[in-house]
Amino acid sequence: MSAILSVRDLVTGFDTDAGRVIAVDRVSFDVPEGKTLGIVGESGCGKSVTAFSITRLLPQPHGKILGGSIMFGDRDLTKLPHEEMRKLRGNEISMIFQEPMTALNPVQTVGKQLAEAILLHNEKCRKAEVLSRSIELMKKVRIPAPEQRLNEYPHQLSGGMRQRVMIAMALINTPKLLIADEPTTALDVTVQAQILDLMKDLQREMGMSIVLITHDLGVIAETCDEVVVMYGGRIVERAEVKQLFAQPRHAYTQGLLSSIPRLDSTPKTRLKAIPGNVPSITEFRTGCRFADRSGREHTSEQLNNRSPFIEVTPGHWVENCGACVS
Amino acid sequence: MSLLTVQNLRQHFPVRGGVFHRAVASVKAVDGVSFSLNEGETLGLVGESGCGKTTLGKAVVRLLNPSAGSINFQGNDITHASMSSLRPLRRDMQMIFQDPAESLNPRHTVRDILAEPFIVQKLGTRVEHTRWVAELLEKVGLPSSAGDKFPFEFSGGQRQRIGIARAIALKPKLIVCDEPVSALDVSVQSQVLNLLLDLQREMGLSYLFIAHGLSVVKHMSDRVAVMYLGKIVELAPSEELYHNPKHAYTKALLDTIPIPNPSKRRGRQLLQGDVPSPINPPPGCAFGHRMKHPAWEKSVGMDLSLTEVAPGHWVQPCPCCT
Ligand SMILES: Nc1ncnc2c1ncn2[C@@H]1O[C@H](COP(=O)(O)OP(=O)(O)OP(=O)(O)O)[C@@H](O)[C@H]1O
Ligand SMILES: Nc1ncnc2c1ncn2[C@@H]1O[C@H](COP(=O)(O)OP(=O)(O)OP(=O)(O)O)[C@@H](O)[C@H]1O
Ligand SMILES: [Mg+2]
Ligand SMILES: [Mg+2]
Repeated sequence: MSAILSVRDLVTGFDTDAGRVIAVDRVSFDVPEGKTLGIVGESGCGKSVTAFSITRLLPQPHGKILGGSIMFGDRDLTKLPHEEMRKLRGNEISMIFQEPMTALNPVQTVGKQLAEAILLHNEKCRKAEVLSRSIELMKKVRIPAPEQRLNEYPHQLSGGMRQRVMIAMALINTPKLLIADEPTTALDVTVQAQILDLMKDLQREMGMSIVLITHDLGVIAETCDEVVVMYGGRIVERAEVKQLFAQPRHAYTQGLLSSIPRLDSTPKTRLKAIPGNVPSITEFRTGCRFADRSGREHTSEQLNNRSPFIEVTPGHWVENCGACVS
Repeated sequence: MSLLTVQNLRQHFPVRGGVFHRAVASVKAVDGVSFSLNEGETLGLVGESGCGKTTLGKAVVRLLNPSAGSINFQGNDITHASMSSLRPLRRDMQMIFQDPAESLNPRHTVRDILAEPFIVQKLGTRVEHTRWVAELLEKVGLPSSAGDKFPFEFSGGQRQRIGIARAIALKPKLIVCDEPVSALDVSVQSQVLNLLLDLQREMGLSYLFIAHGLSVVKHMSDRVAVMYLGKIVELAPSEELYHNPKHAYTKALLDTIPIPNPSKRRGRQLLQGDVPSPINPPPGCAFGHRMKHPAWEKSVGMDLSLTEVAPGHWVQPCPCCT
């Protein structure tokens, strides 16, 4: 299986008043061509920073890629000049964000914003053509009565509709890679299901690869082919989706999978819980970051030195902490 | 025995407009809801955003003035109880909110926040307050040192524990839990759910447990009510609702839950359209209307009060969805 994107030893940090913090700490993964890679993990574990590193949209001037490579074909995105990166974004790589309301301009009609986005990458496009492309895109993301919707403002659309418009914008130039950062978190369960289905359909139609960021393991199970599990700025485990759910190897993945209530569990029974809280970036250890919550005895070696990321079975990788991986 | 009985409850909000700021329409947030809740029981409440869950919860504990219908709590009609007669009631009914950060005063220490209910109710001395606060902290699994800190010094999960401690301070009978874990990290959610289960067992609490995720609600509840556009369309014991849903909306809702098992991917029946607005709800069955069901018209003008189709299993008897 060939990869459309290969991330190797990516390190991304921020320079803050209190010094430099490392938000993404040597992560490596591949996005398989035409497939969906899920990135799952809890608040602050570095999912968005990973996505912004790939698209080079890190908050400036504080966010910096400090090491590693991001290969997209034969180009290393970490080294691409800004101008070239700008061309690549919206053409070959597109991104959709969690909060569609903040990404859309509230005082412009949907049609105007779509038209601008179309013209941004195809300056010579004629007016009539822009309109027909806009309508075509709206249809593609299954928005009913598109001609009419184009004249409306974002606040006149429901959350699900707005997210569809965002997806339409991301699809303008038929990207090879779509990065979706929590595209459904702000939406209702029923609308979430519609949007995820739409993304799957579009993937089938257009053959694009998707990176889907979420903290919902159910969403991962239903939509992804490969999964990366992040904890405290690192990848603790990475595997094909069925393998990950059937045989999780890292204590964090195991804990996460057994702590979520399931429809087939017996009501009102205690759940298995992971004790403690998600660590904050200023208290990250050099060694195993899950140690304090794992309930497992760690040696000082395991606490103070990072264990290698190894392939335990073909395609199944884990940060091989002797205490957390058994 | 039934602790709480709600009958035909309506909570409408005026929509104002025009130069005179007159009520030009109304939001029928809760539009004819009936249910009862027993001592020590949990009734789950699910439904899409805007269907009226929070409004129903607030109306039940009388943070709102209901427009119509009745609420009977421990044998007393409290539907229109005045502010002064509500004060003693506040001891027995409490609410936990979705966002723990917003519901805790950021300028007060945790000790002040937890002592406040005693002060408001004029209970105990300062020495007793200190002891009670320490007991509360222990009960919700926070260190006693937490008392001297401010809410922002805690993680989301810990803040929700503080919210829970405040809610149980006066040993209430009923707690409305409005999305108590939605804002929390996944690995911390189960801790808080376990705490709620433990406290219920220890203190014999009744919960009205609100969430929009059906798996969490099903896990926490003895019975579950499914709400759609201001109305309950189905109410049944948890397992029964999950294994044997009768209303088309419940089925659709069950279908949308992402199952954390990649070997069980389903082709699903997706809901079309968006959640409708409660300002001008369609006549008859609102869900049949959304689905453009051919039999919807027959539901217009029908009595759509819930009917019992199996022991404890109640469904809205519309020709389009059941
Ligand atoms: N502009 C910034 N300056 C300093 N630190 C930042 C900045 N942006 C993010 N961080 C830190 O980087 C870490 C990773 O953040 P990131 O946004 O990637 O988390 P996430 O996994 O996307 O979480 P969520 O699920 O909440 O979206 C966090 O600890 C965050 O505090
Ligand atoms: N004070 C108010 N004034 C006017 N309308 C209101 C008021 N409170 C709620 N509403 C409206 O009543 C309806 C029900 O709102 P409610 O907050 O109860 O929904 P919900 O089911 O809790 O939704 P969510 O899942 O998003 O929390 C919505 O249309 C809302 O806009
Ligand atoms: Mg994020
Ligand atoms: Mg609500």
